[in-house]
Amino acid sequence: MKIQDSAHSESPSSPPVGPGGRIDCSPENIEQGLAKLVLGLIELLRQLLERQAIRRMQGGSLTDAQVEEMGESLMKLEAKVHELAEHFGLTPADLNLDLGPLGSLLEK
Amino acid sequence: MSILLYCVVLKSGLRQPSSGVAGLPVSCSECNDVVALFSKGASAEAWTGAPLRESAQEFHRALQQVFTGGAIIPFRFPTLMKDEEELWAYLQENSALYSSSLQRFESSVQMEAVISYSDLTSGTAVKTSGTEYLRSRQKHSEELHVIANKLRDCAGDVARDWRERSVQNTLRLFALLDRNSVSEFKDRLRGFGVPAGLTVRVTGPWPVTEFLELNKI
Repeated sequence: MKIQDSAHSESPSSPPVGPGGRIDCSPENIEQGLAKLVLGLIELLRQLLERQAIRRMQGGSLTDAQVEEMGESLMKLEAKVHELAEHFGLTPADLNLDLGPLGSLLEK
Repeated sequence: MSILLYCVVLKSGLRQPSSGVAGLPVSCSECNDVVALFSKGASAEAWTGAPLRESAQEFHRALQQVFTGGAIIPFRFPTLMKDEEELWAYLQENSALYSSSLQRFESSVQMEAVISYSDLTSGTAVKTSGTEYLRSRQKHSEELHVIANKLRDCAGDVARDWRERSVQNTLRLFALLDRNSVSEFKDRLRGFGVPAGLTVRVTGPWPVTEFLELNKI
C-alpha cells in the first residue's frame, strides 16, 4: 500500500496536464490532433456502452446470444481503437483529452 | 488581459501564497466573507502556453499553501476570466453558496484511495468470446468494490463519508474526514492487506472537492 502526502503528488482535481492531454492542430500535426479528438470521443462512447452492457447483463435483461454479440462488438471496437491510436503514434492515455476547466474527457 | 483563478476561501482562513503561476503575485477579490484568489496575466496564452505541466505544478503549489490554512474550493486549472470585474460579478452571484460550503467543510479534508490492477494487461488480455470479455469486466469491477468495502471497514469511523468513482480497471475512493484525523486515517490504512494483483495508492489530504455540490455553483 502506497500512502503519499498531498504535498508530494498532483491534485486529484487537476485535469491531466502536459502535451499528451491537448490537441495539437498545427499544420505538422493536424492528422494526429484530429485522430486524438475522434478516437477520444469513440473511446468515451465505447466505455459508456460497455458500462450499460454490463448493467443490462447484471439485470438479466439480455439473452446469452445478446451478451455474446455485445461483448464481441465492444471487444473488437476496443482493439480497433487501440490499433488506430498506435497507427497515429498515440497511447490509450493520449485519448483522455484535457478539457481545461471541465476536467478530462474520460474518467481517470 | 485575463485573470487566472486559483480558489475561493473564507476571509477568516486566508493564507496568501507567496507566488502563483509563472512567479506572478496572487491577488484577492473579496465579497462578503469569501475571497477569490487570482493572478493577472497579459493574455490567456501566458497561462496555457508550454510548459503546461510546470504551470499546473505551480498552480497546485499555490493551492496547497492556501489549503494549509483552511478549507478551499479550488478552480480547475486553467480557469480564466476576462478581468476583475467579471470575477467580482461572479462572486456576488455565488458568494452565499461558496460561504455555506466552506463553513460546512471548514475543518474537513478529503483523502483519496485509488484501487487498481497492478498488471495493466489484466483487463485487456485477449478473450476468446464476447461473453468472456464482458464477464471479465464485470468480475474486475466487483473485485474492486469488494476491496473498497474492506478499505472502508479498515478506516472505520475516522471517515465521516465516502464517495467513489469507477473507471475501467480502477476504482477511486474518496473519504471525508476531520483535518486532525489524517494521521489516524493513514495509520489505519497502513495495516491494510492489499490482495495480490492489486495496488492501492492513498493520497491526501486534499480539498473536499468530491463532497461539494458544485452543480449548484
